[in-house]
Amino acid sequence: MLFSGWVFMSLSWVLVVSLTAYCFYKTLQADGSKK
Amino acid sequence: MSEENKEVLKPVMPEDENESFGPGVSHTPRETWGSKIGLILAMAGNAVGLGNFLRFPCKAAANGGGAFMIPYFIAFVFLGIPLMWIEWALGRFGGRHGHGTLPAIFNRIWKNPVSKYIGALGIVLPLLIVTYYNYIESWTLAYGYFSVSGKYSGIHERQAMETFLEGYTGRTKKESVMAVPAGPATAEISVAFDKYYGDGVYRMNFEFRDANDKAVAGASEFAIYREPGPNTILPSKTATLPEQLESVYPGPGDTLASRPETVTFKFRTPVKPETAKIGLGWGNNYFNGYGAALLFFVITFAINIVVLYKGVESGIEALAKVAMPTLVIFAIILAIRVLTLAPVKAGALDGLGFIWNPDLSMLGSAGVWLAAAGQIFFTLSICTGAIQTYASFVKDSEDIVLTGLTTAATNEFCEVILGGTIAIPASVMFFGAAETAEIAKSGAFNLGFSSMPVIFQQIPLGSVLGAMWFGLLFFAGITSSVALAYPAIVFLKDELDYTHARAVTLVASILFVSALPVIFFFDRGFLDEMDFWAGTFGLAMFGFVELVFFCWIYGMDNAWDEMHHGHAMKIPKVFYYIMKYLTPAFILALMIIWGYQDGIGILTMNGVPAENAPVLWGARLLMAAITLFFCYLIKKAWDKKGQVHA
Repeated sequence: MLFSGWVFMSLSWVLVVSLTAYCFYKTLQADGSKK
Repeated sequence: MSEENKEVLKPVMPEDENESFGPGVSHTPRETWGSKIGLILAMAGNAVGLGNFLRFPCKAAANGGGAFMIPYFIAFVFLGIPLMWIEWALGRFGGRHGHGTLPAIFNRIWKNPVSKYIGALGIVLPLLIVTYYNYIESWTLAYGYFSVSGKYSGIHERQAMETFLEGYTGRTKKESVMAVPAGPATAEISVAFDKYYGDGVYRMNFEFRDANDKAVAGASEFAIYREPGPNTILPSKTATLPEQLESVYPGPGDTLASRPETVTFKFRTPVKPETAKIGLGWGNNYFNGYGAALLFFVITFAINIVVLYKGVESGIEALAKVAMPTLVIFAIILAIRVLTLAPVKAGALDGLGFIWNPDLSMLGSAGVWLAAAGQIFFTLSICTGAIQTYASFVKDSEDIVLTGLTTAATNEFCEVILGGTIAIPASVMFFGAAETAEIAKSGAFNLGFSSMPVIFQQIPLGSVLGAMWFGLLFFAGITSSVALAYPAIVFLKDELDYTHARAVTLVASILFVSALPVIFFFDRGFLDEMDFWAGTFGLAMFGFVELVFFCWIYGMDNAWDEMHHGHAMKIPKVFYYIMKYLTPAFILALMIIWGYQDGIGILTMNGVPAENAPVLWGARLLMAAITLFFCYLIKKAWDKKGQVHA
């Protein structure tokens, strides 16, 4: 795997994991604030 | 579930009769989601399908690798997320007034009698798609069983595994022609044997012309059996061989333990190679007719109907709570196993490199951008009408902005991280980069149903891993198929006051009858015809229509307020303009390009064999009949309960 492949894979993974984690975190936070 | 949560998710009731729309409002309490996590998992289950694990890696590998992710994420932001929010908003908007499908929702937005018939697309398209989707889903169940039972054990070549799938789908005979290279007249001709379809008896018919142009023709049988069993059918030793033929290899009645490299003819007098006609016939030994395909289809169909019959909370949500975590766990185990396999033709990093090494020059190709937009469009399951129906069960004050984004993000996690780490890297490791490129171009089915079973047979505990692979595809499939079938059920309940059981029974009857031609005419293009008009072009058309209705007829200001009603997260203002201008332009472009590139040829049946034309007309007739039937039901509902309030 080329260095550029690592860069694209890492960026994509970080982007997707961050988005997913952020969404679930905010969802739990929003549910918590309702309670 | 906590009491507070129950309060948040209490059943949705029509708020005010005067505010109602459509053919009146049922006073029966509508179904509702049991919990927020159940809603997210069900919506994510709708989005996560076979395409996440098969279509995405093929598209990425064939369209620039890592560079594909640039247009992919751009399409995600400008096409996927806006449409996701719009569909959630449309659904909750309808549910507030007791309607979960598009005829009544469109009729509310545009009080013209035509609007409700345009909304029929939101019921008919998903119903047409699920007609054939259930069949493909049943393959995954069947292959999971075959993996454990050892039905395909011993098939170590992709071409033979492709024949296995052909046999499963009812194509029991295989005929092909072997190519003979041109050259001067010769007494010995060797032809590469590249038609290995699997073990069994091969019947060869041949004809050559000698120097006097006299025919030298004959026929013989030979067999290939790697592991002969008690039921092995032996080839006939009796052959029709011409006098001029000295010998042929494999000879009449020969049973070989492995595939021959070549078929060799030796003649007493020279023959002209360019006159050669060598036909090869093979009877599919794996299956005998449609029995297995029908059996697994009926089982898959029955599971779907049970889930639908149990309804939103006890059926769809309960399924999603089991299927989605199981799917993710299976995918993680498979991804780890693939990445820790000993290299065969290439290592794990070469496998990842194949899908992620960027070819930035591909970004100049319009086809790559189209492929990325198409992938986002299909992977999020937008424009099918299913999201609106699921969202109609969300309480009026419930957030849809954050929840919608969460489901889209969950889908991306399953696609980019899990989907990109299993099938294509494994294929590169076992078949090499060049063959994987061919596999990726030949389509997702070949990757999933031909390549992966061959790979699993070569690794320890392969039958278990194979069952997990097809199990995850089955879970990905069923969570989508129940979502696609639900709008029609909800329409019958909301607008015609059907009981739940009666609505499920009618929809199940339509689906079952419609699926039969899909199964029996699969190899003649019935499924492909439906997939283009309902599952590709129809979706883009419907997406454009709903954008026009919501963002232009209802008005972008109203749409913006509707989306933010009860919001837990504010949408950045730039999306106001993206939704109003960019997303409709994006989807209109998709519709025009798909229609121009493929639609004209498909419409005129360009290149279709004459014997398949009636089958394709049959598919069109079926689609038209289902559409007209639902238009009739819409008319009946509105006639019964009165037209829309002015």
